[in-house]
Formats: sequence, C-alpha cells, structure tokens
Amino acid sequence: MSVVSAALISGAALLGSGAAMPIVSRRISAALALQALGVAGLGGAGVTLVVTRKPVGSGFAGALTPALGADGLSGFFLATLAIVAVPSLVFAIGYLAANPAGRAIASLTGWFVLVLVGLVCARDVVSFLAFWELMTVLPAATILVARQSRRVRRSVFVYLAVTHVGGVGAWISLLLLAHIGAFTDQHAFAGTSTAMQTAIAVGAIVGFGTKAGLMPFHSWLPRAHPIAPSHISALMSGVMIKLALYGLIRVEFTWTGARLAWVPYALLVLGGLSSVGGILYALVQHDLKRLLAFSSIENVGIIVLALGAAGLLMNHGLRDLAAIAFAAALFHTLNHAVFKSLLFLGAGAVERQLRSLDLDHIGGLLKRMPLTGGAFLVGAIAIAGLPPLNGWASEWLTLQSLLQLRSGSAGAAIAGVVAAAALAATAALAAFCFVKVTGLVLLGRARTDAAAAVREPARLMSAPAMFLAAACVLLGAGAGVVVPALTRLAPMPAAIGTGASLHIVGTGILPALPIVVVLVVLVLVLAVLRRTSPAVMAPTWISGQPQDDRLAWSSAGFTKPLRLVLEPLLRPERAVMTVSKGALVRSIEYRSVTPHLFDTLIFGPLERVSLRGAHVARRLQSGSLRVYVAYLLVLVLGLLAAARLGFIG
Amino acid sequence: MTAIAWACVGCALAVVFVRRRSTAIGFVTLQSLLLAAAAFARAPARSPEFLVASGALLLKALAVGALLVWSMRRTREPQPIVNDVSAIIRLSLAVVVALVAAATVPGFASGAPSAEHAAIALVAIGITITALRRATLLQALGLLVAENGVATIATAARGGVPLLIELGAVFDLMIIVAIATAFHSRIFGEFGSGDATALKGLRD
Amino acid sequence: MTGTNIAAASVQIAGLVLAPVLPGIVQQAKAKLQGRPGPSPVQPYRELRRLWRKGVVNVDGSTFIYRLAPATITACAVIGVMLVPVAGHSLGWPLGADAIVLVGVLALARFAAAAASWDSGSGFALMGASRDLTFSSFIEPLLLLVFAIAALRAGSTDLRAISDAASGTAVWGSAAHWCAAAAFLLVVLAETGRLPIDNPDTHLELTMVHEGPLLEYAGRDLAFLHWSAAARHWIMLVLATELFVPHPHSFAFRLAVLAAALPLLCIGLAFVETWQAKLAVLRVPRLLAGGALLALIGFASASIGWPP
Repeated sequence: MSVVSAALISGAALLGSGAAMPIVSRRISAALALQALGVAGLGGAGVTLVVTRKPVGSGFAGALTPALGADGLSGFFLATLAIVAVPSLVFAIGYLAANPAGRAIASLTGWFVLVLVGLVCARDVVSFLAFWELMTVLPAATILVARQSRRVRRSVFVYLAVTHVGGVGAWISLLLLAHIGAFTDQHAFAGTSTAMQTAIAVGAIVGFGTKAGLMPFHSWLPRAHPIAPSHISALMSGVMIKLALYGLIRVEFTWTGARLAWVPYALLVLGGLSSVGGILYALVQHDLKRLLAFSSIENVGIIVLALGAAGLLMNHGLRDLAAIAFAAALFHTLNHAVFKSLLFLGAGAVERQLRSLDLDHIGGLLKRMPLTGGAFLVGAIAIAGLPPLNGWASEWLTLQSLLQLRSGSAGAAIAGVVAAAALAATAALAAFCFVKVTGLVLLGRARTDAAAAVREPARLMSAPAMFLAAACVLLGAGAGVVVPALTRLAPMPAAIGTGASLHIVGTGILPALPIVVVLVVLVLVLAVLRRTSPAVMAPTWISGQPQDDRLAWSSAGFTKPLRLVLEPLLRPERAVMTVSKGALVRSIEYRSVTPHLFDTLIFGPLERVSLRGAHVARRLQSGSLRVYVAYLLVLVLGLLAAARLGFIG
Repeated sequence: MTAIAWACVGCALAVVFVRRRSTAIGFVTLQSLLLAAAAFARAPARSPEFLVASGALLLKALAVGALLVWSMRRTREPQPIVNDVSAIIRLSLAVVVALVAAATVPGFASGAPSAEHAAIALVAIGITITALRRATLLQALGLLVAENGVATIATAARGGVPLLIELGAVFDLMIIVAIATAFHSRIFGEFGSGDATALKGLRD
Repeated sequence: MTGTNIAAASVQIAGLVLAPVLPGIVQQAKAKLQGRPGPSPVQPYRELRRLWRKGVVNVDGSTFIYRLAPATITACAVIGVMLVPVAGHSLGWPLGADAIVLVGVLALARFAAAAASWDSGSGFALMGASRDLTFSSFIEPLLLLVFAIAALRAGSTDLRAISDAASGTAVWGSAAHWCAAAAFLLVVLAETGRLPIDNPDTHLELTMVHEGPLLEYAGRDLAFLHWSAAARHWIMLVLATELFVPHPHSFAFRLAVLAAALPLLCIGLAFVETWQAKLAVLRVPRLLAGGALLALIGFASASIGWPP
C-alpha cells in the first residue's frame, strides 16, 4: 500500500473518529481538532496526487460494487477541500464554543466533510450517488439543528426541493453512463445514439448545474447559504458547489471526451449568464451573507466559462490551449474556495458579536478588529479580481483562454469574445460590489452602537482568516508554479514551463511574482516620501458643516447610478411615502426593493401552478395510513396483472 | 424447505385473523424462528457467510420478539379495539391478495419455485396486514411479515443470498426499534390508545 | 536586452517625467480654442512643485487605506507606463507587456481611489467614486473588445506584437480596425476623464467623476494623484499611437512618429472637448455600450472575413 493510500485512509479514519466523538464526549474542541488533522492529512495526500499524477485505489468501475480510488483530479479537489476545511474547522472551535447545539453541529460538520471526501474518491455509480444525496442532506440537517424558525424551515425546504428536482438530472446522466459502460470504455459514448448522448449531456448540465448554482437553476443558493452557520457556509460555498462542478468535469471531459459540439456553447451561455447575473444581484443586496452567496454564483459562472472554453478548444483540436483553459477553471476553483471561505469566516466572526449582518448597520470594523478586518480586506481585493492577488491571476487566465478561441471557427471566436466581454464586465462589477462591501463593513464610522462595541475575536477565529489571506497572496504570487501543475491534470495534458511569471503562447506574460514585488516596493517608496512631509489632521469636508451620521452613504445609495442605468433589467420597485399634517411634513418613508426576477417571473408562477395541481390531488388523501397502503397494494397488483395479461410491455 | 415456507404462510394468515396482539406477536416470532431453522439446516452446504446470515436471522427473531413484547406490555389498551372488518372477511381478503400476487408476479429463476410462491405470498400478506389491522403495533408486524418473505426467498435461492438476509435483519431492527417502539409509545401517549384510525393527520 | 529594447525602456522612463506635459498641452490648446492665451504646457510641473512643498492632510477617523491610496494609485500608474511599449519595443522584464495586465492594473487604481473615498467618508468623493465605478463596468468590456480585435490581427495579446501588427498600411483596409479606432477613442476619453464623459475642470459635486476622490487630499498626496492622472494620459495616448496611428516598421521612424503624434493627439483631445458638451451621467453608459456594439460588429466582421 503506497504512502498516498495510507495517508488517505488514515486521514479519513481520523476525520470519521472526529465526527463521531461529539456523540459521546462533551469536548467539541478536541473533536474538531481531530477532524482538522484528518483533513490536513487528506490535503497532503491530494497535493501529492496532483504533483505525481499516479492514481491510487481502483479506477472507474462499471459494476455496482462499492469502489474507492483517487487520481490527479480527485487529488486536486481533495487539496481544495483541505485548504478550506482546515481553517473552517479551527474557526468552528471558537464559533461553536458557546452554542447550545454545538455538539450536534460539530458532529454533523465532520460527517459532511467525510461525505465530501467520499464523493471525490467514489469510483462507481452507487457510491457516487449515495454520497451525492448525503452531501445535500447533511447541510440541511445542520442548518435545522442550528436555527429553528419558520423562515429557516421554509428556506431549507426550498433548498432540498430545488436541489432534488434539479439533481434528478445528475442521476439520469450517471445511470445512463453506467448503462452504456462509459466508465470503463472510452469509446462507449461515441457509439451510442444521439438521443442517449443528448440525454446524458442535458442531464449532467441541469443536475450538476443546479447543485453548483448556475443560473437559472440557482434559486436555492441565496436562500440556503446565509442561514447556515458560518463555517458550514464556508464549506458549502467553498467546496460543495465545486464538487458539483467536479461531477460536471467528470461527465463532460473524462467519460464523454467532450464530443458533443453544442455542450461547450451551452456552458458558455450559462456561465456568462451566471457571472453577470450573479454579480448584478449581488450588487443590490444589503445583507452581507446573501451578497456573498450571489457572488458565489458569479464565480461559478466564471469557472463554467473556462470549462466551456476548454471544451470548445478541444473540439477544434487546439489541445494545448484547451489544457490551459482547463487549468484556468481548476485554478479559479481553488482561488474562489480560498477567498470565499475567508469572507464567510470573517462574516461569521462579526456575526457572533453583531447578530445582524445588514451592511447599512456595520461600519468601522477595520479599526476595531485589525487582524480579522485586514484579512477580510485581502479577501475583498482578491474576489474583486485585482492584481496582484490570486483572483486576478485566474481571471486573467480565463480571459486569455476565451480570447484564444479566436484561433477556432468564426462562431467560436465570436462566442469567445462575447464571453470575454461579459467576463470583463463581471470583473468591473465585482470590483464595484466589493469596494462597497469594504467601505460599509470595514471603513468609515460605526453606524450603530452594536457595531461600535465589536472587538477582535479570539485568536482561534482570527488565525484561520489570516491563514487564508496569506494563501490568497501566495497563490497569486505563485501562479507561475501552480498553473503549470494544473495543466498537467487536464484530460489532454500540456506542458508549460514553471517560473516566477507565467509564459503562455499567444499572450504577453503574466508577471505573477514580479508584480507583487514591484507594487510593494513602489508603494513603500512612495509612502516613505509621503511620511517625510508634515501631516495635519482635519475632519472630512462637508462644506464646513459638522458630520451627521444620518447622512452617511448607504449601500443602496452607492449603487444607485448602476441601478438607474440598468433599470429595465433589474426592475427595482420604489415607494416614497410622505406623511404630512397640514403643510408640515412629519415623516418621509422610502422603500426600495430589487426583486429577484427569476423568482417573480419563473419560479413564482411555477410554484403556484404546481400547488394548484397538488390541491386537486389532495382529494385522494384521506389521512389514514391503512388506506394509503391499500392504494399501494391495489396499484402494484393491478400493474402486475396488466403486465401478465400483456397490456403493458 | 417447502413445508417450512407454507408453515410461514400459515403463520402470516393467522396474524391476519387473530384478535389479541400477544398471539400475533407469537405467530410472527414463530415464523421467524422457523425461517432461522430452515437457514441453519441449509447452512452446512453453503458458504460461511450464509452461516453468519442464519445466525443473524435467529438473533433477529429473538430480539424483535422480545422488543415487541416489551413494547406491548408498556402500552396496555384501555379498551379492546374492535376491528370494523370482521375476521373472516379479513382472512378471505388476505387469501385473495396472496393468490393474485403469486399468480401475477413473474418468476425469479432462483431454483425453488414453490418457495418463491410462498415468499411472494408472504410479502403480499404482510402489506395486507398493514392495510387491514387497526392497532399500530400490528401494522408494524405486517412489515415484519413482508420482510420475512424476502428472507424466505433469500434462503431458498440456489446458493443463498446472505447479503439480502443481513440487510433485511438490519431493516427490521430499525423499523421495530425506531418506529414501532418509540412512535407507538408516542401515539399511545398522545391519543391514549394505539388505534390507527385516530391518526387522520397524514395529509396537507 | 537588445539596443532597441534598452532605448525603448529609456523612453518609457523618460515618459514618467514627461507625462505632465500632455495635460498641459491639452489645456493650452483648449484655451487657444476658446480665445484665451492660456497657461503654458509646463504649468502642470509648477503645480506639482507647489503641491510637493505643502503638508498632507489626514482625515479624522481614517485608516491606512486613505493614507496609502495615492501611493497605490501612483504605483499602478508607474507599472502602466512601464507596460506600454514605445515604438513597439519594451524591456519586457520583469513585467512583460500584456494588454490584459494593463487593464487589471488600471482597475486596481480605481479600486484604491474608491476605497479611500469610503475611508474618508466624504460625500463628494463617494458620489464621484460610485459614478466612476459605474462607468468602469462599461469601459472595461469596451477596452477588452478593442484588445480582442487587435489580438485577432496580431495573434497575441502582447502589446508589442499588437503594435507590430498595426504597422504599415494594409491594416487600414479592414473594417475591424476602424471600428476599433472609434471604440478606442471612447476609451481614451473615459480613462483620461475628458468631456463628454467627465469634466476635468469642475469641482461641483453633481458633475464630478474623476475629481471626486481627489477632493480630500492635499500636498504630496495631491501631487501624486495629479501625476497619476497625467500618467494615464501618457498610457492612453501612447497606446493610441501604437495601435491606431499609421506608422512604418522601423524603430527610429516609429519613435519619430510617436514624438510627433503625441502633441497632435493632445490637440485633438482639446478639439473634442471644445466641440462636445458634457453628457448626462446616466447617458454615458449608453454611449459606451454603443461603442462596444460597434467593436463587436468589427470583431465579427474580422473573424467571418467579410468584407474582405
């Protein structure tokens, strides 16, 4: 048994025992530490797999017996899981300390992480689907254990309903693939009928897209992520939706060989829609966690854009460029996992002290919690896709891949450039959105007394955030080393040289490390030059008047120009009510709501129609268990008789 | 094997017919013990996993029986539950359902056709018990009888299917421990009697 | 490390010093067009010297973001100047010459200015920053489309390759190049903050876009910010010369074309500013979107190959 296998098994064992420990013992800190240790071991094994690319365990099996194994791609996702889960679990030690349901949540967290590991290592259909279902159910259970309220129950219900209805696609796709034997035979997919191929492809896109949060299948994501405990939100946003993309990568690239011509175009369309739509809706949110959930949708869109580019380049025979596009998708997966979990952990540290995360009621946290606030700032810059951090490196790579489609057919080139323009718009909007978040959360004056009373959280809760912030910087500076390793994981591997900068054919270079150094040196020099001149303190200039906190800029105010420009798209609803007595105005109330158009136009009517249909079906319900069993018996026997008599085939 | 299988069917029909819960529990335990005996009789000629499965059957019979008796003792009915459907009609309905099921279900090609028919009859009778009887404990017994049918076919098949038996045993224990005992006590506590017609809430 | 590369690099470094002349030329041209004698083109240097001698102002309650923002913006401007090749050559080490890297660096400068306006809490600065960011969500796709058209011709996003592909006269026969030129004009106006998109001479809160975040700063901070604005002029106008002014292939001639074209482009900017009135803030995105559509049509025509 190789070292890697031993590491995987022992890591999983540690994780399992850490998950089972809170059932018997009261000390959740030891249990969470054990889980973190197990996950760290798994992450180390994952990194080794990425570097050596030697698969362990069994390969993909067509039979229905359980099989587990790991190859380079699984190893990459294990490493991503580890880099998110270890800080989240350490954070949870402090976060769950005073929580009455702490033991249950700690145990469920451990089982959740174990299920995620199982999904990545599953090598046959049954275990994959079993872990897939558990992956959906466990966070729902955790949310319900943590918070009991009518609104939370309703959100969890919507989460379970949408993921299951959409997830049927994943079931269909995988079972059909097993049926045609595509797990073991590379050419099985090409040999089947077009109807079967279309069914598999559509099922995979809908099923895995729903779980990943692609628009228009995304309506569960902004409901489920904000209500979960913060470390679970970090795991859900950072890893769970990426594992749905893992499934999509497996179906699209490993098992079907990217043979269908229309699938990459569909991915480009869905990815573009998700990225622009996600960030637009993120911009008009005023609850921090809901904003971060929409931002996850945006980043999933970017990853899917890169996957579409990879598929399209492969179809055109440009295998080297396709490998680079694939590496861009994987790199952005890793980067988003890192900075999104950083932002959720930071939000969690604040939430414990503040109760509500309404952006208009925070303010001034950078001075009160310098360490966590500084880490949050790094996360915001990274997610905005600004140099020199990791978000910029992967968005640069994705943009370049989309532009490389110019070497393909005219249709591919035009699709690529439209997608690239959409990505550029997304990047600009993301910068807009996260400047707003930075300003409202970290800067300015505290807007409520609760915000003024916030203090730096315990070291156990700020250290994970700082670790992730350091990871952002290192991944950005080390893009020249990480990306070439990732291109070798592609199904059509290519070799790029490693170095301080990233040299890709058809581009100028990406100066990953030099730009960090140059920026830091220049800023230091200029800061020293500034320091040597005399400084004077002065209040903010408001035309000579004293500062009034009621006139502080709000989230809606800052994004107003964009909302007005995009009014036909966003359709905000505004209501201004003036209460006046005689000629004196008593009060003015202003309400502005940007409805989620997908909910009002698509899912709302769908829900009403299905409820009306269910109302009709209600007449069959008598309420008694025995009558239902009798229904069942009659139905089964009737069908059997009909089959025996030849009425049904 | 055939004789034992038909004896099990007879026990199942008795469960449909009898009035008292204790008698019904006795018949189900007898059924499970008969099955365990048949499995042990066949075990020497088969793989060692099958021996383990036979042991699982025996354990299941005893454990489930004990748990059921304990649960029944805890929840004495205040007044006898009179079934709306009389015993004879219950019995004839069960026989009809068993015959229809045995006639329409296609064969499994397991090498023991009579045992197959018996097993299918057992499953059908088990579901009928759940539909027909009023006491909640007896409804859980119906599921047990159905699972015994599955165990019958698993025992009688050529070479045996030990995995199926073990899974069935686990399922039984889960059903009995979680649903029958806990919920039965809850229902008893809520309504004062374990009468299923009091539960009309299984709707929107 | 060839001779031309070193010469180009020295011109780039000279650009760091020469950049303030460009806004000076624009100011004088504008004044002459309005019938006034106007300030001399070296007036910006006098401004910088005056500001350098004054002390800086720190806003009450601000953090290091406010203090470091001008340094960050200036650093980004310096990196931008070193990225843009001169006469098709640049040192290439360590920053390379990629077009998308340039877009990213400009975005960082914008973010730093907006973050500083949140830090100071000044309403003028925030209003300017919010408009600036709204425009940027239209400017960045537009700039990307221009670079995409250029990359299609050059086969690479390296600015040196793009500049080489734009030399000679053959390139002016394609419709895509004209579309890209029109779109790039909009980008130049937007990035340098000139009418009709933004008025560089105003300090009224209702009309400020670029000037807003500058309002709280004084002394060396303000000197850095003025210099960065001038550097942005250099970046945009040199890019315009490299891509859209007809030039031959040889290095020396290209340098001469650059030296002649820069003042002419500044005077052209002054013409546009005098001819156009300021566009209402909510209509600017429409103008930029129209430019993007034009660029997209150009790209489509180039990739389909029609008109030939």
